[in-house]
Amino acid sequence: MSTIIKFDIKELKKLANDKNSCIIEKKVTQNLALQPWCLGNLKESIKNLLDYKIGKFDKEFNGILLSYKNLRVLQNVGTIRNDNADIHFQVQADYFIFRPFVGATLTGIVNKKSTTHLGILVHRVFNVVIPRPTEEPGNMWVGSNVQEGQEVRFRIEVLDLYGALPYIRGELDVRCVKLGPDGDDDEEVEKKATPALNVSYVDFDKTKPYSQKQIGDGLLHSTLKNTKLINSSKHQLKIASQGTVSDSHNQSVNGKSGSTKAKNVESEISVSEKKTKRQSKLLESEQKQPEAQSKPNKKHKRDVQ
Amino acid sequence: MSGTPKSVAASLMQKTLDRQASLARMSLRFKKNQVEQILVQCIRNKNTGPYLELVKVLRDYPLNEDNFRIVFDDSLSCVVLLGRELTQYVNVVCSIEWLDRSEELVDLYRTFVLNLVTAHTYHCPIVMMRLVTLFKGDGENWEDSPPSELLVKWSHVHDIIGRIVAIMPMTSDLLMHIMIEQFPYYKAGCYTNRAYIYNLIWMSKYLPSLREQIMTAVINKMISMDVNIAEYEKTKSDTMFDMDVDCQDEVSITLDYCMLEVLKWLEDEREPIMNILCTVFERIILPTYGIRHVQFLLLYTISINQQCADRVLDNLWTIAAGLQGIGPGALTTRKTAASHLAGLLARCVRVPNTRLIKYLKSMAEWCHSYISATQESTAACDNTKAHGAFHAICHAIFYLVAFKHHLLFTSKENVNFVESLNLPRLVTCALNPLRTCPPQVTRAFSSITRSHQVVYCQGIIEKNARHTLQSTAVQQYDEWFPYDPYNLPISGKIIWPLCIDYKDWLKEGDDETQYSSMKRKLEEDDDYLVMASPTQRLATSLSHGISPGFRTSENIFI
Repeated sequence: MSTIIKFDIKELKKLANDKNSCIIEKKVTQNLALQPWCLGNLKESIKNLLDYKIGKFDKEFNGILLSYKNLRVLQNVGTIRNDNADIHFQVQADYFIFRPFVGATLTGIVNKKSTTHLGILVHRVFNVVIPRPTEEPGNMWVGSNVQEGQEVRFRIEVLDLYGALPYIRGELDVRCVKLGPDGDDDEEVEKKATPALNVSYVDFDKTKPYSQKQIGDGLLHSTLKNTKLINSSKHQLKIASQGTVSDSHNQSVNGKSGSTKAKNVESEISVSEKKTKRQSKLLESEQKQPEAQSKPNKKHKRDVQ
Repeated sequence: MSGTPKSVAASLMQKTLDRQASLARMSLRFKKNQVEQILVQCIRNKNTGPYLELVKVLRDYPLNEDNFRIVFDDSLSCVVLLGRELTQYVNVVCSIEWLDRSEELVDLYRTFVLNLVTAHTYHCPIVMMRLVTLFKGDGENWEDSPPSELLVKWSHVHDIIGRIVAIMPMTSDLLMHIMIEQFPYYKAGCYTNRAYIYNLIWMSKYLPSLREQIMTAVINKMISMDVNIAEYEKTKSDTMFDMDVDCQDEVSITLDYCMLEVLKWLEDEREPIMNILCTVFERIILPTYGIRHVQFLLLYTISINQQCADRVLDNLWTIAAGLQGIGPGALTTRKTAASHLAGLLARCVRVPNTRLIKYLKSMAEWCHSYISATQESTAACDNTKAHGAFHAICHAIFYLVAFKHHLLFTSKENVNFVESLNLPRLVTCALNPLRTCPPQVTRAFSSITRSHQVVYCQGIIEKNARHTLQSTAVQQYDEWFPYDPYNLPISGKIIWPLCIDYKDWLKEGDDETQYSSMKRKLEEDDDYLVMASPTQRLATSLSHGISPGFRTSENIFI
């Protein structure tokens, strides 16, 4: 976590002030044992030692350490105990700790949706799973009305923080998604309030083989592609019956790397046109650009109405 | 006698079993929802019999397309049930061969894996491990770039890894951990190591925040190869009979291709990667003593990027002189930094002369102030350990003067500069740096300075020789010069043009750069290299006495 997602102190302060975030700020004085070679650069070594703990469960904190500030070494002289090689220092800092508990209510953003469960990201890093209840009679599940990128509230049911990754299982708070199926406007507001999923740390263009990589490099291209996507789907809405024509047209415009992706999305859109409104919302959007795709959908709905 | 019929019976039995197994494999056909039912039964009714059988079947038999589809469709639909109790099943399912299958089935696998890790985070280590091990397969080494079908396969794996990390940012640390853990053994062969490194580099492209860690992992591995080559070469001169010659050659070939991959990476991404390389150099390469090849990545970097060059040279000088804020570092590190600094200034084509002059000047100034400081202390003690850093920096000066004579003694202005360094004071001071100086450096330095009438060291050298005659201990010289010519043929094609060859001032040499001479040498020796047995090569190499530090490319392939 420490490598991909970094919290700045301001953001954490805000979260720590929020009662419902399960993040607390706490001043802790603890005893750190340093190896003799660390003495060359004491501050640096202590920092490294604490940085190593970030993102992991810590027994002393009874939670997952997110960040710390105001690091102070309380002694000028370290102590050596018994025959140990370690040198002990009292270190004090303000720690930000994520301390969830069973029964707590949290909000998070849906970033993975499947027929069996919802994957939710809390505070940008922690994954929570909300499984579809298996005993439920019929096929109704509020979770199936939720879209990727939407913010939802849930209650923690099962918690296991001791593994390599924390495991949190939740139960959807029904109230927050109730409006989903009917209230179009409400949902739109909700959508605007939540930022688009930030996956800036993964550059999907580059998971393709090298040969294609030269065409798609970096942000500029992907934004270009986005706008083209929107354009082309709008275009397609106007001449809805001639989907194939716009397809081929688009292919020629987009060039090699973008074409396949654009084509996929387009075909999905054109399928959804024939189906009902609700299904079109279910559209398994590429979570890279949830907004870019949902917009044309909306437009389309109005056109139909 | 009695054993024979029994064994015949056993082999017959075995044959029957095999036939039955292959028949079973042919007729193995899952029904739709069968797998799901078995799993549900196992969870709800604790009916583990069919479940264990299923695991065994999946582990032992390769699946055909239909079975594959059924297994994954069913697993997908009951992904929520695949908790900790079914870890065994998850493990088996994830190891099912999927890369060779059709696009649709690959998609199915991807969907399943993504659903699995989001539903059960604790399965993440297994899944990641399975994915990363796919980079370690067997195959044929490639020339320019890997075959395209392999690239497509790898890109499927990278796609899944990318998606997992995008959805679960916390997996990045886990991924890094698994990458390092799964690194092939350094003797595992050229292809395996190269493919693995190729894929790690690929990963660094779509996960840019992991770049530094990936670079660290790769360089670490390459250093362990390099150290083993160096270690081998050291023992080579001691023992004439070596059994694992082929194996050792294999390691140097492996390192050669790995160097090539990293050089390509540097060439590809330039700025950010080069800065990272500098950081990694300071952390890992610099403290390693005695390596022969990996440091040329740095030479490449500073040849391409002037900013990196200044940063690295400045930093090396700070470390060598012990000027960093927290007090001087370890003596070995300071010595190593001094030899890296001298080596880079001497050997790198692209280092401008202004830098050479700047560092010579600051080194000389530092040495003079050191002498003044120690003169004031009552007894200038003889301990070379206490004054090790001073000796190392003096050697660097001598080495640079001897190596760069063609530049330093050409014009009047430059000769004046050399005189301004006040070298006689260094040579004649009580600490006597010439005494610990490697003989070949001493020789070259004294002859060049004598001929230009800058310093006369002959008297001191002879006095030192007399002293060493008295003492029983054999004098140990530091004979490691990190930038002696590079001798890996394939990555060398990129590196050689950037290196300067030493030219003895007495020999009226032709204007041959290291590159052309290396190339000539390679072409000449092509048959020779293939034909000659390692022991022959060894014998020839023993007959030539080549001084380290001034080694030219002429004498590295023998």
